Amino acid sequence: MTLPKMNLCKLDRVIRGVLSVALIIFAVFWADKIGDVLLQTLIIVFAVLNLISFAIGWCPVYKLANISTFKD
Amino acid sequence: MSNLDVSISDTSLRRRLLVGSISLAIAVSIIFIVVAYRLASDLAESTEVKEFNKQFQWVFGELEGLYSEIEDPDKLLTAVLNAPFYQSLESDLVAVEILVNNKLQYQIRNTVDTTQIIEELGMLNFPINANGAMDVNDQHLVWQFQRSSDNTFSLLVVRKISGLEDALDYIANRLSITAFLTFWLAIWAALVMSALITKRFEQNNEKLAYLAMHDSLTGLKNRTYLVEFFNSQHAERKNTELSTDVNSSALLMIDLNKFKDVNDTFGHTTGDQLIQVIALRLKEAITKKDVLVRYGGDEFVILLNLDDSRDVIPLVSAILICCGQPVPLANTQFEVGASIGVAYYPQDGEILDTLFKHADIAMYQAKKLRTGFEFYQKQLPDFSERQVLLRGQLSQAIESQQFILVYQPKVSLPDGKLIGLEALARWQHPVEGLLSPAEFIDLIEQSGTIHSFSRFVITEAIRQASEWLAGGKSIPISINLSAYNLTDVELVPFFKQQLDHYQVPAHLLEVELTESASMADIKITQNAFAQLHSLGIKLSIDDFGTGMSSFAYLRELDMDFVKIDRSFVATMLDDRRNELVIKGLISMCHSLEKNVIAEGIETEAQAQKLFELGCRIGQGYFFGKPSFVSDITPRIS
Repeated sequence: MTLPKMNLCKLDRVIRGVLSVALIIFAVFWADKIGDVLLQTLIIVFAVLNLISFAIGWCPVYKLANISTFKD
Repeated sequence: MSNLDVSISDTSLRRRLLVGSISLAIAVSIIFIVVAYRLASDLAESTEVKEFNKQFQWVFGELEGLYSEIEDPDKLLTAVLNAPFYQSLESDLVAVEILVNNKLQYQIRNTVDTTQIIEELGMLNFPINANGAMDVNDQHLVWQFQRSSDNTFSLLVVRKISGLEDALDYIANRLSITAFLTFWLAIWAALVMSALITKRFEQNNEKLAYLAMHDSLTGLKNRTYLVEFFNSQHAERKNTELSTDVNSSALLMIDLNKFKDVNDTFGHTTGDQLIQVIALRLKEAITKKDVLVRYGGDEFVILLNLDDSRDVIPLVSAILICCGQPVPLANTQFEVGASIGVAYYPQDGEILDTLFKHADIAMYQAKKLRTGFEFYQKQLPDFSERQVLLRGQLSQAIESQQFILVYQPKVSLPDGKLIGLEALARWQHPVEGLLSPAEFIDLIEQSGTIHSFSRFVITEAIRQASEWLAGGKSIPISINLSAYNLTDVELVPFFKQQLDHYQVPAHLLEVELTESASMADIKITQNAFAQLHSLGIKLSIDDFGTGMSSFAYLRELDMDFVKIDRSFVATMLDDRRNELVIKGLISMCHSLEKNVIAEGIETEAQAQKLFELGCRIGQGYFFGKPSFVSDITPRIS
């Protein structure tokens, strides 16, 4: 399976990467601060999705919205 | 060409949608957080106050017990401090004070300054009980005051509401995380929705733009597109200021020759299919730089790009050939053929209207001369322009009844007795005056108005016959039909209907058919003749001897009269060969049992000679010019 065509620029990817790592750390280590398992799960899911799009440089929402920040 | 592709990608619409949805998401999040925070804080506060009330009542009860047991006020404080309730007083209670006679007596616990509360109570004149809340040093405090029933003491307790802050901390945490997540979801939704809406919008716009620029039947570009394309190219050319000696493009006006026949005989569906096939062929014949446009009906226009100095003639010939090749449709083969008029830009016109007009003139010329294609020439503009002008006015003229019929006598030879009339059309043109058929019949045959025109002639002749009948005059009237009429399946029923309507016997009507080169299919003619005959209408062949297939007609067609062309009659007396031809014709027709009518008799000598040769019916200026109804009526007996 080939990867979909990239639609994220470097800055976009870096923001997503940093954000997702920060969120995962927050959700794991400050679980008592969040105090709700559902919220914690949602944060982790959100962070993981961002992490994936950071890794492959492709965002499905961008694809659906027909947006691309990708630059050659 | 990119400047022409109407791309209406409205990014501002999309941005507005996006900003709108995100603002909405932010607003909803804020309202949600505020309301939820206030709700939570209200809820927590009321719980705390209830809890505080319980504690207060408990302390108050314990104190009342102590007061009733201990009389000595000095021992009271010690008793209180030793009492079990004091030990278990929660740390939340930041001040517990006993007042006697409205004066502060014992401060059991005092970590906050309560003078303000006591002052407030003093202002209220120390009611039996009171409570309130205050904020001191960022601490939220609630207090309660109560006098004992025997008025021996009063109790004031102040409580720090700390549990509320914890609760709010929790709630605020979760709320902000939830808000963050929902906000993100809202942005996703906004992005996707704005994209979908914009896409839909763009699709509709594209569809509209496509419809505006294309012909629905063939999918080719339409006139609107050509106008825009030409204007943009024209502007470009002006900017680059190329020398005007070089022709940069050529406008080809293509008109299918026999399309109307196909349409009328086989119906519009077949006609449409034919147009589609031709459109496809034309598309293949041109290059990408050229613009092919369906101009309307059976007319196509090609704007040839001549930048690489292409030769136009081979191209036009190729187009002619591809239009002339048979089109297999509806179980038969159609050979329509085309006429093409060519006008060069900018030589023959700098604006599109002029180019169109000139290409049209050239096309008309090609049609008339049957040469296939013609280039526009400046030498003969007036005549041709007049033709084009007249052609444009035809439909209107038929509708507004600008056509009238005049009648030319047919007489028996040699006595000159009136035995019939030939109805001839005249166009009473409001500007050009009275026009004879020579000036407009070609136009009518080519413009597609032939059917409505012929119907007018038929109706008018029958109406006139009935008028004369009503006046007691019975005379056969002959009308001229074009070969095009024979392809009209509604023709014979129309005859019958009109004859019935005006109650004119069919034998008073004759149909004259000009021997025409366009009369391609003798089967159609045979069929039409048979049908007209079956109605009782008489038939004759006009201008006999000039066409190519005269003798085939004599053999194949069942006609009553043969009209010898005026060209034979005119030179008959000077040229003995013509005389012999006429003689032969007459004897042949007689042996085939067909009557012979000689046309164009202008002198008595001609009439005499024709009689001698055996001709018994004559027509010509010698016996009478075509005349208006008012002039001819007295001659009819």
